[in-house]
Amino acid sequence: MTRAMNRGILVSMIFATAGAAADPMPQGGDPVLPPALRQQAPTQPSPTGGALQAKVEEKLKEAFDAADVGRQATLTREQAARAGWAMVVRDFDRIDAARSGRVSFEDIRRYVRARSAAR
Amino acid sequence: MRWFAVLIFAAALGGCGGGGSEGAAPAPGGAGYADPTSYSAAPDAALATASERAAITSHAITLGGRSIAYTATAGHLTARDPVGGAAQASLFYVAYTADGAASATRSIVYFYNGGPGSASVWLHLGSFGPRRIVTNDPSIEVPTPYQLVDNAESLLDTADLVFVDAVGTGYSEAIAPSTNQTYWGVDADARVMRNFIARYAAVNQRAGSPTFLYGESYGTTRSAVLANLMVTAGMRLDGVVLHSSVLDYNANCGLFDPPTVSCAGYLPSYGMMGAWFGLVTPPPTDATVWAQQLRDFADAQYAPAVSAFLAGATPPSTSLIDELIRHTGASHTLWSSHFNLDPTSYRSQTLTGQLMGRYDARIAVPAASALAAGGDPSSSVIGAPFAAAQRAHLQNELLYTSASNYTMLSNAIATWGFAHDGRTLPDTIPDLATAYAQQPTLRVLSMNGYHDLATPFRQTELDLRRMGSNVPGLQIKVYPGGHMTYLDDGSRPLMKADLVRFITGITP
Repeated sequence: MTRAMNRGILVSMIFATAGAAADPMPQGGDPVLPPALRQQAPTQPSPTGGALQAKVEEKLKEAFDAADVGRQATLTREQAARAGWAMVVRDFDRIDAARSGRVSFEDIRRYVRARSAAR
Repeated sequence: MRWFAVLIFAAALGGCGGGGSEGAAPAPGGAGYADPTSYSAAPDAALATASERAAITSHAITLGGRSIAYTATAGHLTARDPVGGAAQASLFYVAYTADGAASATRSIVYFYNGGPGSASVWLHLGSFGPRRIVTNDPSIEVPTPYQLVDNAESLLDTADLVFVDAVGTGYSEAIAPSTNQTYWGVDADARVMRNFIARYAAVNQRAGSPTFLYGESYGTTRSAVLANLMVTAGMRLDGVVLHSSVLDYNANCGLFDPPTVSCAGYLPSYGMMGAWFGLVTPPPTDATVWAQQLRDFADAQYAPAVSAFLAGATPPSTSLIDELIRHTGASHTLWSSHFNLDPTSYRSQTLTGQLMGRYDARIAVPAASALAAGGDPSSSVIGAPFAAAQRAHLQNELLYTSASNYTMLSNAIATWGFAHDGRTLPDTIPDLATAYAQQPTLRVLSMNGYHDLATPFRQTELDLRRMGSNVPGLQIKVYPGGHMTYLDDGSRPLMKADLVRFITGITP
């Protein structure tokens, strides 16, 4: 718990290195917000528990809608692959419990919920 | 230091400048890569074209009694849009890879600092790379000229290490028609980092290697978003190390002025500082036990009172004020006037005439001194040594030279797009939870310092706890030290041991 400090050494160090450095002196700014955002108060609580789970499913629904370019409310394995959604491609047969060749968002939600409950 | 530079690649690219080296080894024979490109961190800057050249040098380090020969690669790779393949940005990286290792089983860790706008120099030269600056943290007697030494706690005995600079930091820059500003936002930044990792993995046949992310500070914000992007895209991702986290900007009271959200997540850190400066009676003898008492006190008494105070300005009870003084060493005056106590007020009004550091509050200096002028003495004391060491390390040891300045910290924060997922400020717990939902085998190691007043350890725990109290694969560790916990010579070996267990998959 000592806080020994030699101010003579310290002062000479600061001037010596500051003079030698060509780069701008970095300031400790991580994390910080710019003034306009710093003065705003967050307006909503961050989701937790069931609300967090709902938010996760909302994010999965966004991914689903982005992949469902034809607005058919179902995806084939190929459509999921074209959208770069690897989980659906990899686990397609398990998500597609009815073996219909197409999965709905409800199928995906059921699959993710079951896996979360099992872990 | 035992290293020898052997040119493997880029032999015809001309001599390195050598240059002045404050305390570094003499320049080796041979030549590296004299990068002719000019790099800019301005928001509207963009490269017309980008090259993927790199300086490649050979070195050796002894870790745990074993000599490891390794290759250092310093240069650029181009991140491309996975849809259409358009070049987005040229990212600067330094990779350290052990020679002769089987890449299919050898783990790889991607490191980045945060800011946003910070280059990854702090992790590169301060944490687990093969070379490390001596800082003597938490003393302010940083050796001058700086000392760069072989790092006994390097993770190179366990994994290959890639330190990458975000766009508009270090020597990383956007490629036209995009500009640096294109990638200065939560989502665009994470996407371009994903695309860099995909490029590195493709060029080096590492897509199948056990893959880990190591982000610090805003780098944890990036990691949560990036982890979900990588899992969604089917890229291999085994684990995420969250170092000094800011996972939910909306929950860290120190980011707001005035503090409009609860500062209860800071209370345990104030108590750790009170103990450090001998202001707590009786003096706690065990940091772990004391930290737990502080968590319990904050949860049971302080947090509910702050919520009531913020909701209706309900004044705190006299007995609670007395308890706060007893737990933190801050004065009656301070607790009475700042019941929802923000870290800036705590740092400046607890020790008479002195300012505590933000990154490492153990570093306290007279409030009128030069070191206090920037607002954080713990940052001021290491800035110049890291800048000088980075320049010399790149030039003289890695043989990469550039006429441009290496941007330690850009002004990205001023124009950063903080909005994410429908909110003004990023909350990335849903991203992490979505990554878990898609890949339940994902592992997360959270590491904080007890003495960090930028990203307090209890706030990280509260944020992660939103995912449930029992998340398999999530480990939470706290060590003595500040925001850059690895600078603490006592904690770095502990962190290294925990990281080795985490990367190799050994459950504690």
